[in-house]
Amino acid sequence: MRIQMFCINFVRMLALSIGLALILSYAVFVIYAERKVSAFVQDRLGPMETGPYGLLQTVADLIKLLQKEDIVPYGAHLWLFKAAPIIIFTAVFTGFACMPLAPELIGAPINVGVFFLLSIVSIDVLGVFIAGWSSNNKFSILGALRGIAQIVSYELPLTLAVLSVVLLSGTLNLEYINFQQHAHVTLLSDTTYFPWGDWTMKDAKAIGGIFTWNIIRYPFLIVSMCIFFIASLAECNRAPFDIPEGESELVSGFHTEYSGFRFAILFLAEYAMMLLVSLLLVVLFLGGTNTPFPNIGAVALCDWTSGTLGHWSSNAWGFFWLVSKAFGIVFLQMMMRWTYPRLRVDQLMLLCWKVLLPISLVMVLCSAYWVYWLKQ
Amino acid sequence: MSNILFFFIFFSVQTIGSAVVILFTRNVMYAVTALLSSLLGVAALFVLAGADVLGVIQIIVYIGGVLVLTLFGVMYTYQSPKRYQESIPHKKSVFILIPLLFVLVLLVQALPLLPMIDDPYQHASKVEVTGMLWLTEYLPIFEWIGFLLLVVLIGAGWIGSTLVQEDKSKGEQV
Repeated sequence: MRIQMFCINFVRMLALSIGLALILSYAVFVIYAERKVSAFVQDRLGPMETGPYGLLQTVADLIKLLQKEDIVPYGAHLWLFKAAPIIIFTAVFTGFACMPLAPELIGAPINVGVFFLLSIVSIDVLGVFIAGWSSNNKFSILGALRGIAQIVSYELPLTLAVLSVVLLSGTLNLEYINFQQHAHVTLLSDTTYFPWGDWTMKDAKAIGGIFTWNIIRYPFLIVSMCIFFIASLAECNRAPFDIPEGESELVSGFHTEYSGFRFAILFLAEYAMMLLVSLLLVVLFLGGTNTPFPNIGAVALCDWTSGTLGHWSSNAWGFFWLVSKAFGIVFLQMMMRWTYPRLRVDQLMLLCWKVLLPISLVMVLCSAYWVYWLKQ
Repeated sequence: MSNILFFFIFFSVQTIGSAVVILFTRNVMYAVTALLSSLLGVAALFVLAGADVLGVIQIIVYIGGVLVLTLFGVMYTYQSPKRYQESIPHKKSVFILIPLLFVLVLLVQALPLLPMIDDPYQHASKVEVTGMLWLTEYLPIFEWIGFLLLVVLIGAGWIGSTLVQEDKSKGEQV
């Protein structure tokens, strides 16, 4: 019993350290990628001087940031100013705890995982507010004001888009949602695949790959996925929804006064948030840790690229697929940033309340009817 | 001392300590931040008692909703703490006594009675049971509350719109 508890705790600590290492190394590479993507979109070369193809540019930037003097502006609220980056990063990092990184690697397999994640996002807002308010700066307070208004509004379509998936999968546990879409786990195998025909989940899992993903099994979820993606861009304050920190209007919004290590933490939290919402999107819609390749007769692509369940190979493949898919979504977020112009505040609110919210409500109804239809 | 007892005492101290800060600070901003800490402590206590759903609802409703709105209010009405310095006799002694009484009650009465669980993860979740209860037995109550809130919302909208119209008509007269 003790050994079993030790193993469970060991896996949880392993998930924690892998999560932290993933975020830190990801941040270094993704900032480099952001520069290169923006450069290629704008027909430039991007950083080329530091290291081969500018590979060491982010490392150099990090060293510069860590060496900088820690400045607290005159008239700022000292404690709140110092606490804000900690609150923001802690909130985002806590979100990774209930994210299944591989089939058997999860920090906290809590039963209210999705709900917990959505609540964590709302603590992040408070950090943004405290950062903006305590800086004693007009740009910061305006940025914080815009940020809160935006995040509070976009939480609604985001939550409703998640709700349409939760209705269909019947659980709030992210690990279960992941397992339901996994080809080698027999969960749900006797339920029907579509409301029509006599195809069951067992047949689908024998083929595996993309056919067990939620997005293929429930085709109308593609609308929910788009809503989730748009709302998650707004939650991360990414362009085209970057009005809280729009450079041309507010210098850089709520983090105008931050420099050095504290700025680095805020920057890290922003990119970690991008990864978190991408991981959530992948687990909810795009099969989680499952491979995209199906078995085609003797060419068992799904089995070859999934590993054996309960063996380390399954965890390695699962981690690889999850992170690759999430990086694909992060790449899409970057392309969005360098393609679309920033929205005005009124356009932002119009999009949220008059377009996304009604559509996501209809999607929740669709999911409810689909569940009813499946059960008949 | 078991781990769970340690965390229980830790979060109790956090909750009560932050509440004391709210009472004593003169800066509204600090009070709101302390309220955040206090509410988080309450959520943690819910989780320790095995009510994980309630803990998350506590965070999403009170911190994500109520506290953010409070912050908006504070931001618009903020004044320097020096502007409302006032003294009430025996204020401090009362404010020390009340939390102390709470701590006393907690230590003497509640602590031995609380059904503590060894590991929050090892127990079956209450999600399904709670969900079923909400949608069957307690549904009428929630519907009534929802209806009342709708009435309040429409009323607030109506009052707001008439105020705006009055403002507009005054503007035209001037």
